[in-house]
Amino acid sequence: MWQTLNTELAPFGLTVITVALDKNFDDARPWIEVAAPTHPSLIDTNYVMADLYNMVNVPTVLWIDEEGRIVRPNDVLYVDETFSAIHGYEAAQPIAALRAWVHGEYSGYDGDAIADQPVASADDQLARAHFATAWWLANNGRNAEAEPHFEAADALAPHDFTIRRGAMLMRGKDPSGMEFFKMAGDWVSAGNSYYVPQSDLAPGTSNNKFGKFLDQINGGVAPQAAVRASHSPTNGH
Amino acid sequence: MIFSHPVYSPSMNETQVGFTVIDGASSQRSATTVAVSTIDAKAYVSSADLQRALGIERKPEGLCVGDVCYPVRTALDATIDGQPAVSIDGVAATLGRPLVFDAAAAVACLGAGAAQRSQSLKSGYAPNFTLPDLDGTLHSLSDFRGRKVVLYAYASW
Repeated sequence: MWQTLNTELAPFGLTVITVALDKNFDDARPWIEVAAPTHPSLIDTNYVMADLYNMVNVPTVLWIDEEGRIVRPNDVLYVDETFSAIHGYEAAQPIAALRAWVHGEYSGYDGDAIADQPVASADDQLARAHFATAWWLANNGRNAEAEPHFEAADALAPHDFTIRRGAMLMRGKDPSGMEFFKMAGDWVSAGNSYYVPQSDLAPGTSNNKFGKFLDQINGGVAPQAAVRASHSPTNGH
Repeated sequence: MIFSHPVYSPSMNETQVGFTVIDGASSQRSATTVAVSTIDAKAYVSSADLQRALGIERKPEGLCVGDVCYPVRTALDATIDGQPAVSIDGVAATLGRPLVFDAAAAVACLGAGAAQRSQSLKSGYAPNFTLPDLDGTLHSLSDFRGRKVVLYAYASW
């Protein structure tokens, strides 16, 4: 889907950059090969992006303008319906917003969202240092010594599912299996949110920034081109 | 038991060679083998190893990373075998960076500081990064200045 959007919107000045946070190239390879991207499709085996951008979950999307400024900070935006039955978020509104932004119809910029975005605490960064330590030990076959560092990272930053799930693969657990669902279930049961999308593009909320933009241009209905549902082998990439 | 700050047993009161120091703020998470010495229950590395492993230079004006120097407000200097050395703990405190120190595994990691990461994001400018594609070709975010960019982070799992 990102490949489709890149092909459509590249002539209007957009570049899609996808980054796979994976433990090695071979895990990311099948996804990238089926997508056959013409845009930069990068692999981040050290979870550098998660550290730089404080990404505590995937997928995470940012919009960045021509000057390198963040227009939309970290958000949970889906551009296909692959997992919509699970998370309940629709793709149409984010895609419509993205197209409008690229075509210069919608600024998308929200200074308050950037000022208010969650940033890493000292504990979050200590958790990432523990994760990096565990990562290095596990990569060197020293799994038993890595384990206490994985545990320390979990305890320090229980909300950081990028490293908690990413670590599961290295700990012989299935990051999409029962252990993960239990982990996420415990987190939500304790009164927390698993995904925290920004409200302006969340579904069912017409009284928001993008909804108001749609109201202005066409009475609240997203342009047909914008809501064209698209399913392809590249879903999820 | 893992300690976030150095804790030493008396038997460690000597020089431990083959100690791995990870730069948890570098894109490569570079790991460098150094010697760690303990003096009065504090771990020290030579200033030369500090620069080699972490790119941090001990200068008269402070601890310097590139052109940026942080004033030293804590006693962190020592002399080991006639060479200048600094305490790892003191370096972490001076730079405001998290330190993981695992004496048993002989590995330490100096992570990226929360203040540094937060200031970067709050500035409104997207932090630059350089990462490879499947072919190993490196791409930087800054290569795309002048275009709009959608950055999408995902995982195969």
